[in-house]
Amino acid sequence: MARAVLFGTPVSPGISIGSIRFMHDMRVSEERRIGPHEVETERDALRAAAASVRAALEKTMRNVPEDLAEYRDVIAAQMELARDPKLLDAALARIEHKKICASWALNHTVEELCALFRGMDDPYLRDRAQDIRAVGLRLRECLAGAQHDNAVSGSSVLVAEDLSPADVMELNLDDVLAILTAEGGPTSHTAILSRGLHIPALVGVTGLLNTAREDERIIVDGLGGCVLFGPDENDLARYTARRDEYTAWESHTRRTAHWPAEMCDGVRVAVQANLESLEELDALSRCGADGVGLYRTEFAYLKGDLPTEEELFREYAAVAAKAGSGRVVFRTLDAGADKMLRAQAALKEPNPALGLRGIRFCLRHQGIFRTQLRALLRAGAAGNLALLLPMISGLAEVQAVRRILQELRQELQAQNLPHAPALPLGVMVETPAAVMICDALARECDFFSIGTNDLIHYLMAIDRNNRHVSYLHEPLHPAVVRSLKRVIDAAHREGIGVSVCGELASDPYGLALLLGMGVDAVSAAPRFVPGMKHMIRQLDAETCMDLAHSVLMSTDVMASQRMLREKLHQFLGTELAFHTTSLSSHSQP
Amino acid sequence: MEERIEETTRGLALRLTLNLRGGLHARPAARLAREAQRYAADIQLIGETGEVDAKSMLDILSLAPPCNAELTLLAKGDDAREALCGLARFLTTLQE
Repeated sequence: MARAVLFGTPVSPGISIGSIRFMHDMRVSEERRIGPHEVETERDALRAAAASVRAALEKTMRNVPEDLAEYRDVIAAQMELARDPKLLDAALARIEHKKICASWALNHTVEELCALFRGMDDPYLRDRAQDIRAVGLRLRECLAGAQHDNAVSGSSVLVAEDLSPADVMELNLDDVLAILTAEGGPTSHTAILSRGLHIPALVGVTGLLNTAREDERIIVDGLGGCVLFGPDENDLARYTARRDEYTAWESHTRRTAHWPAEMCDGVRVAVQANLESLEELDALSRCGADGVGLYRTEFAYLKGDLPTEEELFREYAAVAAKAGSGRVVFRTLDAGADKMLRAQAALKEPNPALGLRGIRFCLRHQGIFRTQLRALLRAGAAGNLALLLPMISGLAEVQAVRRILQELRQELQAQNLPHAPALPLGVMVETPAAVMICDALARECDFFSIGTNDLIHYLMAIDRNNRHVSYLHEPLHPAVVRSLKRVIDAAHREGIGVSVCGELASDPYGLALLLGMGVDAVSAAPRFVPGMKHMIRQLDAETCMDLAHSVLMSTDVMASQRMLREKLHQFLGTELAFHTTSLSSHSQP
Repeated sequence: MEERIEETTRGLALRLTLNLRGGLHARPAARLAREAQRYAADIQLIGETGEVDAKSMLDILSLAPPCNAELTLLAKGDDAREALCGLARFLTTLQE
């Protein structure tokens, strides 16, 4: 076919060249009129298909790993759909009334239901059309006698409308070179899966299903976010070279992940990992991180019942033990905004991001907080750990926590339970108030950690869920840059360390800027760590300082971006494009 | 619970208030439908926007009862009384 380019949202980096393979059978299904004597056969076929789809889903559900509990819910809902009277009985009735075969009746019913749900006002219900379609596809495949056979022949690019959790669990991904989906966003199952497997992936590719043909050779550019159909000799040569360059870079960064992050002029920074569950700690040694810069503790609280002190203690002690000599910074419960506990949900705050979240919630519900702190103090007896308090906006909050810790230590002492005599206490700097009083805060705590994502939202006064103002999420905005500088300088004047644990730390532009401001540690998702360390080793502190100085002087975001890009290109060359950045992509309002 | 069940011309009815954050979305709807299927009685769920089959997850979803919605469960059949008590209890456990 003719050369054509489609664009999508890149969710996992890399470049692949391969042939298309469809995830689902896209062939037109059987549409046949039947005689009265066939009605029961067709109805039985549909019932049997529903039973076998349910059995297959149940089997899949058993294979879902513990940490993907949300997958289990989606699959359970799909199982329920596969016996839903509205779907099944309607299709069965249609076979009888219209005298048509099972798959035709099923298609009609699925279409009708999807149309009904897509027409609903509620976006959540509109999205349920996907579940109905996913179940419909499975039933149809089963009726056509197709085995759900995902043994991919040869190396191929997987193309689908969307991947449901059940699809993801059943896939054999050994030979998949890349994944393309027509639907989905950066948080879709496809995105999470492909990143975990280091396979390039694009989601939300416009026009994908109309353009893609089985077995056609295409180029997937997961760095630039495009798919090239019908590539010519030039394209193939260019992308093959680029792919090899990327693969070499990627394996080099992974091989050298354990080398220290030392800049050319000998300045060292710690590169740490952001984690949120015990299982993730396996990734820690592989990625070469210098400890855990941010351990999110919310996971244990999202399972329904509140965790007991013993459960938390076991988790924290295991995490600290697994991290070895590396320090683990535990952020205390930061429920709110996107992750809510029942006690919080009951408040029905119109604006939870500005409500009783983080430390505010913990100080109000001290029973929950004290349980967690006791578990942390006990885990600290053997492990190297530190505490980090989220959503701090005043000194009184830090002082209150210090008092509570003092009481708990006395309690533990009285009960003769082993515990840490003192744990380093850090403050998350993520509110404008904390930025303004950072000098005073620095005297009250042992370290700072800047959460850039929330800090940007609160500084710019934008709601993270409101896409109308998402263009204001601008990390190079002078207000953000000056705040970072102010916080880092205040910390260093008081002799405490600063780490940055937001998205900005893994962004090449943000990283260079932070290095130039003299940040002591950066913390990011494990997959970014090797690349960040590699980049740090290519830079020197002197240049970064000059660069940070120029950006601080600039009041023009575009000019700042240009300066950073030019300078980094000089040092990193074409490798700059291998790093994931959200800057310079959405600078226009 | 039992004493709040009323006899109507269409069978037994039980009025209750849904207290479920986010309303009856996919997960609780699936569980409610599965629970309803355990009873032989015909069970209807009546909300502000209409009347649906309580054994169908899709039906429950399309009713889209919001948090704090006033709902009526209507059951007709041999085990209608057990069904109403069972489902009302089940909805309470969902809330916890």
